[in-house]
Amino acid sequence: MIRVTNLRVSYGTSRGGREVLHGIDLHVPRGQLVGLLGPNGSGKTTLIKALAGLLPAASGRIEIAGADIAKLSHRERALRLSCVMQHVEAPAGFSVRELVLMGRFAHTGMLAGYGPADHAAAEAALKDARALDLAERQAAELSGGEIQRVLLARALAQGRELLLLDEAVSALDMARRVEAYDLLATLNKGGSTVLSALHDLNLAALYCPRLVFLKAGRIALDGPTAEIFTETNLKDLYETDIRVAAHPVTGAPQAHLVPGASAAALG
Amino acid sequence: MTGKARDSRAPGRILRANTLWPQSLWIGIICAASLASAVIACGLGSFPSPPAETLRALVHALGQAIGLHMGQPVDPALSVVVVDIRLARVALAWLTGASLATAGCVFQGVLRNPLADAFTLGVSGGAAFGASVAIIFGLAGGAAISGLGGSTGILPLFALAGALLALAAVLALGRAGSGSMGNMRRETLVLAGIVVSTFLSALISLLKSLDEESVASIVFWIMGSFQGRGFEHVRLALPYMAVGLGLVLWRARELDLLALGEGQARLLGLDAGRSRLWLLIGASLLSGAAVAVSGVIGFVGLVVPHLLRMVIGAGHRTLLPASAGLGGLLLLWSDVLARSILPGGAELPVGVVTALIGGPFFCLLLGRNSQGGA
Amino acid sequence: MARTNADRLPASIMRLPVIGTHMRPNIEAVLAQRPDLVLQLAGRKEASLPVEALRKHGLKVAVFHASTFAELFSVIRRVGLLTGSEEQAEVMVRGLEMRLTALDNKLSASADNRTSRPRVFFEVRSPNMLAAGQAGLVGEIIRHAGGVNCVADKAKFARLSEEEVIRLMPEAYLIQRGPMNPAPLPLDKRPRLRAIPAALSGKAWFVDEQKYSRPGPRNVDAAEELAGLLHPEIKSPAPKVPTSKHKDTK
Repeated sequence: MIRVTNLRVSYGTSRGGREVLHGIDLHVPRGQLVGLLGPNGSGKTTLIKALAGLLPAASGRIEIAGADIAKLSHRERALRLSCVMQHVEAPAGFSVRELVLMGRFAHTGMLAGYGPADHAAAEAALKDARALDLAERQAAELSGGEIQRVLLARALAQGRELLLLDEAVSALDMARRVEAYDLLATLNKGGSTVLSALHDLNLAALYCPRLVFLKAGRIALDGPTAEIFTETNLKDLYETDIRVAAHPVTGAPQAHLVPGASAAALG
Repeated sequence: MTGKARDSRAPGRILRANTLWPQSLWIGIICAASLASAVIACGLGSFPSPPAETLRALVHALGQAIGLHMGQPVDPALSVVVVDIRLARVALAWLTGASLATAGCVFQGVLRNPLADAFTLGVSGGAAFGASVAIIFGLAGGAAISGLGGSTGILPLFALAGALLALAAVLALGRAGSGSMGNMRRETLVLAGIVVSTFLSALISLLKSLDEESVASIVFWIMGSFQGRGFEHVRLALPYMAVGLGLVLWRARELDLLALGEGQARLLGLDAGRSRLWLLIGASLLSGAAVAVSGVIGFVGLVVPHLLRMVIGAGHRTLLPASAGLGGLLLLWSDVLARSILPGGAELPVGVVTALIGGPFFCLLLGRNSQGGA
Repeated sequence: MARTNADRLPASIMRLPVIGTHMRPNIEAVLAQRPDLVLQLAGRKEASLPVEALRKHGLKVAVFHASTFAELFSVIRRVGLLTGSEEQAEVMVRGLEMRLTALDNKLSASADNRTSRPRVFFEVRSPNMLAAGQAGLVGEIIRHAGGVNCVADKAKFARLSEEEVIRLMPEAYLIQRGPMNPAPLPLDKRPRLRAIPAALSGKAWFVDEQKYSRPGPRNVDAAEELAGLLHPEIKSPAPKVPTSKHKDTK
């Protein structure tokens, strides 16, 4: 579904720019649910933006469902993948329903407006994202958690083939996070490919069978969660003492911080 | 996360009653009000026109227009006053108001700046400058202003070119500081508009000094007015306005997406750059055509979209047509005031009326907005 | 001796230096002429500012007001007095007064004038329509020419709507042509004014702004010319009076 070959991305002009991703190779087959992890500044958001076509590749190649995204139009790209970014503020004057309906833009022709099929898709998306109760509210008046649910609904309305998420649940409380990832898991079972960048190691380990760790613009680790989510790997990546123990219910590995570890590391 | 968290259980403040008032109903009301206003406005003025006679004149003219004999012919003088003068002014004022309000709405949407408008962006000034150049260099004489003569087509073209050049200058200035078009700082853009407007008015003053004999004709452009305008002006401006209106209405949904910001719009499949370009061209066509036939009229493009956003929301598929209708309505009545408020058949420039109505009203809107924290 | 930019008649003054415009005379240019006397026509507020400035520089500035023939004649006499050519001025005024009296007599003798004094509309500027009101010399000229200025406004100028022009039902329509009205359309090219009596009867003429709207001896020429237009039965002393419509009266 996603095939990234030797991707380099820079911010700023081509000459004086700062390279943030230094040659990423990544393959995500159709139907996977992948967690993208890494410390702050490791390039998670940049990679998601490049995959979504918001940032041009300085070199390398990104293929989505077999098509080079540099050659796709905005509309064609929007039909292949939907994306939820972090820190999105809803503009004033739009209802939640209107905002979710905008997810259908790429599906409509230039002359035709949003048709019955689009309204139905928006309705289904609102329902799946547990945002139906917000439908008539003003989007600008929602809380941070509510707006994330609405944006997820909009992404679902846009398409469910490939979902890219960047810290899409960080503003949600614990119960809502679980709800959101349960939804992602359900979607994944239904055939959606999901690549989700997140900070929460344990949430990633609970839900994602495969994890990709970025560090300083390179892929540090990539593999099945059970194999790579180990104390040694996490210590190296995050440069602090981390203990891993099994989840009491599912048995998935869970990371635990150790107080005073940073002082000891500096020691 | 805690910084952004608001109480999610707080009930949403109902800003607008769009659930009770379907948005299409608003458009219907505005259309009906426009039609009724047109008929009433045709009966108002210094020339005595009893309602029955006025209606007969209108019905007769309508009959002639569609090739039917309807109603008895009326006094020719009354017929000229009601149809050729008042109805033409009503039509032109409505079209101009609709164009200015729609253009204002588009400028505000594309630039994500509530203070953007043909007037504040210097687009009207640019159009007036273009028209002045055409007049000074004799490309369009006094005869052309009154809508006749061979070179009439030249004037709107010059006004339009002036509008586009001014817009390009303002955007270049505003962009110099802040990168992408949708992310320009509000203040930067308005300041750029003021700089360009001031520069253009200095250029117009220069043109006036160079050729004092054209002063009267140029002042005519700077002070907006519908005096002496007729159906020939409607015919002159209508093609530009229709194309401009079609262009922006066709892309109304893109304005919704642009309101989300460039990144979001692109994620949803919009080629934001191209969309902005076409929308700005459409808005410039509308403002250029409006200035070409009526001169510079302020505040319509600023106040109308603001007011409507508070009432019917920001969805442009409703907001644009509603802005057109309300803008038309506002300018129609402003012109009625301009031509009938002074005794003895004397006229006020309509730009004065819109500024007198719009200025305080806009202050009120600003006050309410800052109170509501919106 | 000097002139303002817009002063172009008689042609002999064209070689005089220009000191700017009547609204904004260039003080330096005026001072450079080292004039004994500066003449300024009263009227606009803007015009009184340079007067103060010139007086501050020790120049003699005489401000005149001329909105009737009587005032105009007294201005001519006083200018004669101030420039030491009293006699010339007196002769000129006598001549002008005699011509006006002769015109009045001729008109009162004419049968047409006894029965009708046509309602006259004087267009100062178009399409941004400005009409001559009751104050000012144009009203005097119309009166002496045997007409009535149909614009009742007391001021010198009135900004009027087209329908007001129709309501006034002018029987004669004068369009001045000159710096204030550089390219006016003839009346028969203005469809919205087609129903006024002046348009129906063809009593519409272009007239010379210099003759009608600038105070001076030429105003008497204007009265004679207009009398001939309004009352063609009197033998006008004007050299040639066009009778067909929309001819220039120059």
